[in-house]
Amino acid sequence: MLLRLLMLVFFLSSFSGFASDDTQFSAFGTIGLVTSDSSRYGYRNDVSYHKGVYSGDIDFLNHSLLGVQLDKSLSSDVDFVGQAVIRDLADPKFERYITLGFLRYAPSANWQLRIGRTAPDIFLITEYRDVGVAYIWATPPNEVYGMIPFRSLDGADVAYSTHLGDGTLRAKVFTGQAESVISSAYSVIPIELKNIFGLSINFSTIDWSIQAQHTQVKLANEAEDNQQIIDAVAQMPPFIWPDAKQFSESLALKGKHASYTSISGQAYLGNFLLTAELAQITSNDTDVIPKLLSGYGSLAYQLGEHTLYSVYAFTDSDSYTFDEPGVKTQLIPELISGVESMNNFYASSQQTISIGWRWDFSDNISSSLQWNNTHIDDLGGALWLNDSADLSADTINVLMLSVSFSL
Amino acid sequence: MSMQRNFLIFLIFILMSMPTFAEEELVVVVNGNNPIEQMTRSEVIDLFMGKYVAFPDGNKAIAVDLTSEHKTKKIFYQRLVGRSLASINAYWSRIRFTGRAKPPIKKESKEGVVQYVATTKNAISYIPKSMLNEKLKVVYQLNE
Repeated sequence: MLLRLLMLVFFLSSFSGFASDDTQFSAFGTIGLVTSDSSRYGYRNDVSYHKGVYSGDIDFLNHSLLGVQLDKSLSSDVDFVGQAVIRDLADPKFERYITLGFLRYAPSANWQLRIGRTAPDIFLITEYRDVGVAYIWATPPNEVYGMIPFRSLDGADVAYSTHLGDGTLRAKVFTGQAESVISSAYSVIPIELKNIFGLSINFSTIDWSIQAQHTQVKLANEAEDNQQIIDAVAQMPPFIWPDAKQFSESLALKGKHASYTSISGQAYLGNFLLTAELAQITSNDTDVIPKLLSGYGSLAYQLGEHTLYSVYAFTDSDSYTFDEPGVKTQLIPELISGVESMNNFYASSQQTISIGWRWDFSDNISSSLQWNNTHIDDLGGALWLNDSADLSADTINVLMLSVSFSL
Repeated sequence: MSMQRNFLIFLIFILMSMPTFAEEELVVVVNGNNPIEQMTRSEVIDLFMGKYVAFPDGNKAIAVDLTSEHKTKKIFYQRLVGRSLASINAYWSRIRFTGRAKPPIKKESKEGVVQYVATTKNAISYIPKSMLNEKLKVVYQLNE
């Protein structure tokens, strides 16, 4: 896999891109190396990935990928964009390698309508999180982005842009559906979202930008493991579990709603680049998805081709301990443990301090060397893979080196 | 004498290897038939950064850029937004690979840019002032 990726990068580096006035081919990619010092919590890029990086591992798969793109103008108002990203996936399917595929109709400079597969505009960087040259870090902060497995959205969006003062105002509404997987140490679970409705508003000048985003989704499927626990709870007789039926319904995810909200900003102050984002994932319908508050602040200093940066990132959610009244827990310890695991599946509570160095060694190739020091709270390690029964707090160091390019 | 000659050779070498930033005067040009007479810096930035690709009268524009290996491109973006080409390419990676906006048309040569803008009514690009001809109109001058 890595060898093939290297050969492709070498091949693409020797080609300056095929382009005509109507057709442009382009590419981007990353070769990423990750090491960690934990034998219990396995590092991964996001919750969709199934191969953790443990103490002693040298991993090339978590961050490495290659993307190719076609931009084709069909008329003065209509164009097509298609993109494929080759990477190691937990559950490979052809359609999961296709990350963009849409037709755009832009009747004026102010308005554009896109129909087809687009990138999810949920948080500040979700649209370009896999394009390594586009940000200074080795990877976007996991505390905010690690919980989002989705790479594309099938549907439509309408965007309005206008020049306003010294900046540009851009507002976008979008709708559609999305699918991906969430991996645990034991299984790879499909996850489907339907009835996605989102709004993204951005005001930017060349030196700073602010952005607000809100997205609501409906969960469209129930994982097989979850369904078994739901069924087992529902079948409990009243003398063991008095309101078992009602409780089992609260465990179901299918048909429940969740929302994603983010506010963020970026500013260039001389040689300094400041980036900050505060994000929330929440569901009022189910306790299985806890209220997740996360954020980060990043400060970078650029000196010629070199950028030194530091990041503080956090994610916080309540963990669940079973305390339903009247349940004879001593008779069903395995089921209670299953319910607790289910309700803590998305519980993420950790803080990371990162320092890093980006080197733009050509106009379109850069490297980022980054050291993360992460403290995971008790039962807060949802972003990591852990196949042990020990879910207690830990402090982990992760070293990552990414070389990224765009052509 | 030999030392003076060596110093002279060294000086010539240094001067030849210096960037030509100070020498090249750049102008932003449109087709001569375009009714637009002038643009502000912020309008030019919006247009070349893919934020709002239109002329001040609201008509859609076609931005024309040079390929990355051109020094003129480096000078243009340095003067327009004060950023390196690496930073501009990083920025455009966000726009292009998210499909947020159509990337500019790219030309291999400055002569290609001049020809395209001279024959396309809603095209806009940047060229050295010395390459101006009667079919082009200057709408913005980049200060050094």
